[in-house]
Amino acid sequence: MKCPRLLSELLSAGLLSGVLFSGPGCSGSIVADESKSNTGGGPNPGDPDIAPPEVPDEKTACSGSSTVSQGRWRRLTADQYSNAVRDLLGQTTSIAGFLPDSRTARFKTNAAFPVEEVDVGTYASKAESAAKLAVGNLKTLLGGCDTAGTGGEDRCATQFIKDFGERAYRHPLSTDESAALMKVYNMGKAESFSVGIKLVVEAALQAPRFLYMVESGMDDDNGLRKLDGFEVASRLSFLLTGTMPDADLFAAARNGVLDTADGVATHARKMVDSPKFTGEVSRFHIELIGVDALADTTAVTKSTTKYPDFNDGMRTAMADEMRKFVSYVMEEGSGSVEELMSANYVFPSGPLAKVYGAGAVAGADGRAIIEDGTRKGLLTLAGTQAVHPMLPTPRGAVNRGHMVRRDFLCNVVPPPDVRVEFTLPPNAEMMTAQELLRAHMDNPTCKACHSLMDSIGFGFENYDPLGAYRTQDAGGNEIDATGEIVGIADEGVFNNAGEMVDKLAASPELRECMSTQWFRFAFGRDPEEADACTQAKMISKLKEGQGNIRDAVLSLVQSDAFRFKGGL
Amino acid sequence: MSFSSISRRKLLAAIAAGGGVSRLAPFLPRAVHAASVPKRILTVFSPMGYLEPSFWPTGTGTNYTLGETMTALQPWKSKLLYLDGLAMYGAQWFFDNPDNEHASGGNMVFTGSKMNPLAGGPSIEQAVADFQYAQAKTAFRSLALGVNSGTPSQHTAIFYSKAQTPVTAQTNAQTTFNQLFANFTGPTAPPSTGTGGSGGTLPKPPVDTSASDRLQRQKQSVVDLVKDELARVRKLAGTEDRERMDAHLEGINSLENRIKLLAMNTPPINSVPTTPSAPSGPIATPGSAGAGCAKPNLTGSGLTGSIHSQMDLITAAFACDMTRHISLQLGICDGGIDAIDGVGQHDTTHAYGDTKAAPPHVENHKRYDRWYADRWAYLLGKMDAIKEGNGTLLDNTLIVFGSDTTTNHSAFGLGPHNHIRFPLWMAGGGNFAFKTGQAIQLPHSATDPGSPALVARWVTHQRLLTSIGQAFGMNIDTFGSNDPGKGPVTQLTRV
Repeated sequence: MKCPRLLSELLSAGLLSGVLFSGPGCSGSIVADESKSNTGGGPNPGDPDIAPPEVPDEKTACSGSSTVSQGRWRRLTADQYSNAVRDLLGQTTSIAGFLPDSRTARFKTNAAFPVEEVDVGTYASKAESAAKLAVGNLKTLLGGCDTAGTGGEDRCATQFIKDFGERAYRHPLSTDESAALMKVYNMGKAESFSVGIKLVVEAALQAPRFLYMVESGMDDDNGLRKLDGFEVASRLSFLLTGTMPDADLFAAARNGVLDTADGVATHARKMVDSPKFTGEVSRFHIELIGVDALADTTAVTKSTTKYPDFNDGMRTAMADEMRKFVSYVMEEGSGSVEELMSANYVFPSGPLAKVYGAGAVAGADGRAIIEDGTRKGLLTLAGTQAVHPMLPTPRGAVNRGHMVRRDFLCNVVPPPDVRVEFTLPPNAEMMTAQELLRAHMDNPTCKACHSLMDSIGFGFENYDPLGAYRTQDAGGNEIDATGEIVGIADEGVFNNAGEMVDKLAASPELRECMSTQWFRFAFGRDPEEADACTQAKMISKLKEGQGNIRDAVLSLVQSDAFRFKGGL
Repeated sequence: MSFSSISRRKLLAAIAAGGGVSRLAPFLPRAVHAASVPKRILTVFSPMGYLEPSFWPTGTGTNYTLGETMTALQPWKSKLLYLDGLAMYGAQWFFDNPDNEHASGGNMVFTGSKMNPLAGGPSIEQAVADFQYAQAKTAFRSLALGVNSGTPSQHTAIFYSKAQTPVTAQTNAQTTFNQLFANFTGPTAPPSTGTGGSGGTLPKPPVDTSASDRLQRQKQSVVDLVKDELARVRKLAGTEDRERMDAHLEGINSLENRIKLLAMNTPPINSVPTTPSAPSGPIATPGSAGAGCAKPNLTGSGLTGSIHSQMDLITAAFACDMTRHISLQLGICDGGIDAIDGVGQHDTTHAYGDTKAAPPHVENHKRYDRWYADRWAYLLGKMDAIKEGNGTLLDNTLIVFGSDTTTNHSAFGLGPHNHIRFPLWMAGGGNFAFKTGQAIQLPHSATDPGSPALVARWVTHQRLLTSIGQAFGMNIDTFGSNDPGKGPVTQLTRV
């Protein structure tokens, strides 16, 4: 598992970094090594492991005192914002694609980088539209408060600010916060009561307490800051349901139930059984694999002449299928990592019927069981194969192998040296993947990394760029899907994707990686040493039996990392 | 031409008639008598440069001939400016970069700053924005647009608002359109009969000024609340979150500025504003800008169409003086723009080396370069079609094109990608920046500037970034966190 060192490490891989790992020939080797030594500079040759940092076992990791990294406030993602406005005001605000979300590794988290100037303006106009719509049904908005009589309007406004304000800020309002909203109300009231209420809604939706998960916590004996019940409630609801807390959770926060790990667990157990949790597990896998990029017609492209079926309908169908697949596993199946990795069914609706072929016959639940072993879990779904590679290249095997390494084993594979020269053979399209990529194995520098990726990618050769099963490649050659996967417990050769997936699904390395990915998804940061205990506990759950996702997430929400934050 | 013409006065009426805060987004500064024309900057990133022998012009000075892949730019030859012989200093492989030269070059090209782990300073259009916006507040300080530019990470970030803080480019042109042009109702009128939009007597639509004052006060009260709340949570924030709250506050200040600008522009337009609440700084006075202001009609789809849509938006945003600072990021450090069916751009560039210059690869690379030239021609054509004062919008906009690496001959034994004879080239800005229509040969060494001794033989790209800053009036001698020298490019002629 060694690669030549030309860089220390990549930051979170960008959305498109897969295109890097593409050099097929390496026939020219890396040039200019001589001039490097002449100038006396240059990177230190060294061979860092591509494996992720090791996490000690639970007993060791959890023996010391509690430590937690600081972490950062997350700004609601476009989806979370949309959901929160929906729940807060009972209305659907369509904001698809309105703001770009920043990512932690593969996941949309908005945990880093500031909001853009233009986007602050968009928050303002969205808030105004939502507020305008909300006061269209003032009575409902006010929860039936009777405005009749002297002072009735102000009384209702005060009540509204207290109730609505607490839900919008996801925290009880301080005196100052109430007063600020009251001031806005009074400004609007000069025109009319309705305008006053509208302005309150408009302002609250732009306040940082609505747009960010503001977390302060309280000093704790152990030097950490303990999140209060409301802060825990927000973390729980956004992680498990993708939206703001509901009335039940707010009540729990108010009553102090969420101040203990047991109390958190009680509520979380109810939440992970809701369809909203299934939705978040789907989002996790869609973003992990990058299927969300299908919606961007410039990010994922195919040759239009060779794949005319790859249109908007197909793009949508592929993402929908992954949602259906994950939902089925979570709600009808075992809800486990193993089933996600190795289920023998697909959902061949709409344009996907053509991709999956006549052998895929859907039952009443939309599910087609594939008996011949040609489909096995998430990795062999059409959408997964269609987004890797994202851009047309004759060397999909490299990208697919890299995807497995990066996303499912959490390996950090460095990009190739920029000085690599290679010549793509003129007949590249007609060659088998093995022929095309053989040059990687002839060159020690290329081989160091490519042997880790290419030989995994060969296992996926049976899937064309749309994910359809094939026995001949584009050049008309019989497919050879044998390969080898190394660096995992069950390493070794395999004959096809199914056998490879079995090895992956059984490997502890994959379960460990899923714990890292869930950590990133939940906190918007990479796990650090201080998080070892949190991670170790999650890993224990994921390694138990088939690796139950609900159990792992329940362990996560009871952890110190979830309930505390580091000092300022 | 996908623009619909609309007179400036109609635009103002449309803005005034629009509802809600979104109507505040499209604004035109209040009519002023022709004064200074805005100085604008557009930085454009595309991955991996060009195949050099066919990119660089031949000849020197004004007597030059465009490179064979760039002939689409012929109509604007007098508005182009080439500096042949620049070295992008600091991104080379012999520096201890945490990533290879794709990312190190991408981070450095417009910032002049080393990547560690992200770029150590702002990109030039953001530095200019800081400088100019402090003097004249347009509706938006700056815009960051992209096509398939990913989300910010070491390998994707090109443009920075400050050290370690990349901008997040908006890749959805429709969203930017809404941010800028919502409720913009046109076209309804023949082109303005006014002289370059420089004032004149405008009709006075019936407007209830007391209502508009009231609306402004209401908007202001919302803005005040958000400011108060930002200040409150800021006290609870860690260092990084504090910076994010500060950036959010800047966004709110910009929104507040738009509200005030709108109030000052509310008809009757030529009267003294009835609401004397001036913005916190001076407001922009665009002079003759505005006549070409029109709502763009975004119809493009696919890669080429998306790029053209962003270019339409850029032209409109400049013409309406909504901002004077825009970055456009096409793709990421080593790709993302696979425009030609079956020919990967990254493959194409790496396939070239002096011993491996197989004709198909050279031809493929040239096809890419010509494809880019066509995109640049589209942009220049749009901008040059808009008359402004004595010239065109292009003459008042300096466009700086750059890449993460270049793809050149292997004369230096550096492989396909390196950073010497670097194609950081320019178009436009002839009214205020540099004398255009030139190919300037810079003296340079035959050796890569790999050491302090050798770098003296090269003109580094920080010199050009410094020149650009100076052209906007900035009092700077260096640019970026890694500048090995001092002063501007002496071979450039200022206008």
